[in-house]
Amino acid sequence: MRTKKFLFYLLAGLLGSCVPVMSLHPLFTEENIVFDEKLLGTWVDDPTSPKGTWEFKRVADSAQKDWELPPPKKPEKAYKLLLSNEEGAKGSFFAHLVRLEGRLFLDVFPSQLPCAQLDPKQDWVFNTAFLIPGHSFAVIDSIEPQLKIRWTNEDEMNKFLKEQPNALKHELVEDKIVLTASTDELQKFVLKYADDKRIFPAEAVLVRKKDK
Amino acid sequence: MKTRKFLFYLLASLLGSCVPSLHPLYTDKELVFDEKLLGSWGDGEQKWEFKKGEKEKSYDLVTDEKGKKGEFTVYLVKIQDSFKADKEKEAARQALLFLDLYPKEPKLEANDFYKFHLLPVHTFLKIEQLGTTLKIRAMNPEKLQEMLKDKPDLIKHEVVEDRIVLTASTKQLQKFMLEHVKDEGLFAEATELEQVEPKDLPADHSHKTPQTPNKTQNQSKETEK
Repeated sequence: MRTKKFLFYLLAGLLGSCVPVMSLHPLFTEENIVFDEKLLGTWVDDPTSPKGTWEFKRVADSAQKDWELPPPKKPEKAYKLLLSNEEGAKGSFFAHLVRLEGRLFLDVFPSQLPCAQLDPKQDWVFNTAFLIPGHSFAVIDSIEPQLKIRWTNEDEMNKFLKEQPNALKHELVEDKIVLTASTDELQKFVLKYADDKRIFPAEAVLVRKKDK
Repeated sequence: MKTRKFLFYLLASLLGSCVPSLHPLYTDKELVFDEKLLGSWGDGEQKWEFKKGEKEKSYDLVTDEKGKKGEFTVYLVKIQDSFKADKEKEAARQALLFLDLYPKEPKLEANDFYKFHLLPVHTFLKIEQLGTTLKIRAMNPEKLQEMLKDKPDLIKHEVVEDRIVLTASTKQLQKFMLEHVKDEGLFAEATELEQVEPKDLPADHSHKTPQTPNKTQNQSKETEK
């Protein structure tokens, strides 16, 4: 796990060098999601030498592939987020903007499970049945002029939950935290700790990618 | 959400009924290694190949159905009822054998942020027979769902997109298995795999896997232990 984490740190410059905390449950209900057109488009950490890109699209504008997970219940309020790192490795997600008491959060969830269509070198359909897609969360401090996002960080959350194990329902699976709190519990928690660097320490500052 | 649930169950049905668990069924104390499990097993339509794994008492398993593969780290888990002390129950006490399957890490070209969002889970298969035949049963999620509707505290779990995910500790999982392994319908219809040589496997085999029992299958009387 440690080796994996190290590798991730090397690759994840644009994500504020974080290993995000995973949750079984989403941060949103249908009542909490909002859609802001300003988030649409392609964002980079460094316009001159990007380490990667974040591309937010409307779910409706992105053709549903056969092998993808079903679209969210309210596709008009969901984004398709395509993350690419500088090696070109991609990850495709459904993203939701979540508004809670005036604060904005982002919930990110894989939009597809690994399959041969996603990666022709792989044909391990059985493994896929043994993987559960998890949610990760971030606070959005601003969208314009810069997209400022602070993610959770597994190591920091680990320290926090060791000190306050009852602060949020979770399981420790080997050295990985998996949040098992309900959506309602998650919402209360993120609102309480939105400005706490122990919970949301990993800041990514992104700007719009300029057309060449 | 229903559509997503359907997808999950469709995928899960490829390796029989599947109740995922965040935690394993074993601690080091319950692990056993039986050489009889090594080698190739099949029923003419699928092939399971067990090899000795890198870690002590572990197996590497490759499943293959119509070229669709799965790669797992597997442990053979022997649990015995140490919770009940009275002699009458002692007489009926017997060890239960399970396989704990855990998927190998994907070798994906996707970025690590994506990979981190895929949580690997354990699945348990009850071994009914390990000889020249490997007879196994998977847990039936629909039956477990029914049981949890009646008794939500039966075992620690979360319902994620209508799918049960066990969050119980290893100790709680073991206790649950010992107490409920004989509950009718909790474990699906048995799948029997015979020891085979690779040459015995047909080149063109159709899709068949351990099955999730439907109501009719649940109602049928299973005579095996």
